[in-house]
Amino acid sequence: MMRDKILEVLKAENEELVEDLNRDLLESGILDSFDIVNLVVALEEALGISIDVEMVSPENFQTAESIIRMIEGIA
Amino acid sequence: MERNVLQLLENTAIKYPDKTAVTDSRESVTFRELEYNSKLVGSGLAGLIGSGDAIPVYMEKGVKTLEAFFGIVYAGGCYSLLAPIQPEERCNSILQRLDAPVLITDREHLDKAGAFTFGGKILLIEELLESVMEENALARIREESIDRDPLYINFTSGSTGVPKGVVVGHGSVINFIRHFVEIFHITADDIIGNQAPFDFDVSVKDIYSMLLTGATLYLIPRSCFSFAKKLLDELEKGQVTVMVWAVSALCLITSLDGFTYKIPHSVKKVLFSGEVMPMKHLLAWKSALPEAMFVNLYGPTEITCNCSYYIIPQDIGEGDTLPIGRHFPNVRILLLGEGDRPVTGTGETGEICVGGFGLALGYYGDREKTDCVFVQNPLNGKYRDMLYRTGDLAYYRDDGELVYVGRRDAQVKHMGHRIEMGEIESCILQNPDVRRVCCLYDEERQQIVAFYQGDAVEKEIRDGLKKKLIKYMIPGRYVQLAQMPLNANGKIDRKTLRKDYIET
Repeated sequence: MMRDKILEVLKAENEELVEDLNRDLLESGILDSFDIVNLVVALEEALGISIDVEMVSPENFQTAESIIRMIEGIA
Repeated sequence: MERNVLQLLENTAIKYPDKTAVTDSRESVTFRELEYNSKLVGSGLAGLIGSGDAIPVYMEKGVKTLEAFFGIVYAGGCYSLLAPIQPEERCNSILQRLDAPVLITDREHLDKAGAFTFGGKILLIEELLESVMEENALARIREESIDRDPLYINFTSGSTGVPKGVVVGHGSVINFIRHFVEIFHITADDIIGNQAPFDFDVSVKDIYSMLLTGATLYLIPRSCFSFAKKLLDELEKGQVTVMVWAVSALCLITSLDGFTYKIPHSVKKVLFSGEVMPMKHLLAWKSALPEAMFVNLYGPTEITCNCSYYIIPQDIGEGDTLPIGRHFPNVRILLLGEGDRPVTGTGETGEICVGGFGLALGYYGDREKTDCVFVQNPLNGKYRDMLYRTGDLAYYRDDGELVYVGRRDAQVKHMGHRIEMGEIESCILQNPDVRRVCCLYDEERQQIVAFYQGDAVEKEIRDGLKKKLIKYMIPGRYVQLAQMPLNANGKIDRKTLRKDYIET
């Protein structure tokens, strides 16, 4: 359920984020500089959660799967 | 006064030979080494480039990039950073305009550089650094240089679809930077934490403050600017005292409540520019660093970095406006209203026009565009008195401080970058299945919206743009319309589009 909601937010932000859930989003340049802040704010607003600054790391934002894992861990 | 920035480098290298000049994530150089290495690069280039040639440097920011820049200047040329984050087509368009005899890159980017449609010679910085020193040749080139020689060319978004190169001379930079370090008390004791990419003129303040004062330039890698935690760690690791950053980069830290993780206590001065600083974020920074000096800087790249500044008072609060302040001593600012009438009263809006030493030399290879915006002062019919028309609107507050209002054309500031909607529109129109297009900026959502008429699907347009534009220029939202609204003159009705699709 939560997974679907997260995928929905990711898709609304940028369809490319969910085209391949294991694609390296940083290496491919799909998530660049300020995209991550915008994505964090969108996820927080849509899911009613708070993502701590220390969780906003390259490891957690490397793929769509790692973003989902991180959020499932805190929600 | 010096007529060439290399004099700044050499004077500082005499004063602080063993002090660290620049540090990046891989290496550091002292001022003596920076001078020596730059001369080696210059020696390798001497004879290959002509006086005033504009030489592209295709590298990420780093110590060696600066050695390439100053090496080019030693050899009599001017530099232009070709940022590797740009798609190949955009690089080719810039290279075509520069028409340079050589391009400098490093081993990391050699393959990509080799794929450009570039007729000149590709040189590796690693090999140039192994050149034989030619002090006499470099000295001869220097004798011929004057302060109006071009120093660098920065490419910005162009409304007709082709990026335009702003040419800035040695004298303008030296003149500006002298005032800059004096007003903000930047000294050899400072460590400047660089955020700006080297094709962005915010970096000119970092680089030349270092060169003039002997401060250390600490280069923070581009990859950190996605993660507030990494940035705060970098500020601490570098013991950064001065930040001259784009507003969006400062907001990146506060948007994620970064100060709950760490406060960068070494920072004493925070200067920002590029767009309007949201008061909420400014107050968060001020409360984390209550002793620090905060400065709002304003000015387009055509007037060499900035033309006005506002030192933010301690008691500024929510609801206050943030002025762009007063002019730097090297320039003067005129507000011109309807029919080029000077605006002097408070509250009345006019276009910001700037004259003085800071003016760029013009747009590279584009006399027509240059003549459009670098114009004779309409209030002076007696002698040559050039002004740059910024296209920005402002008014004077009761206390004489200037307040920015907005643009008079379709240029926007998105994530600190200046973007002409016309450049995006002309790229979208290259898709044969798009008949009409109009791009608008949604301030609220900080998003570029593309409205189009035609059979093309969003993905197709987006994929096409990726080959032509830098990522931050690609619209975030696409609206396909059966019929584009037109006004009485048959032009696309931007107001209706904004009202119906953005403000709702």
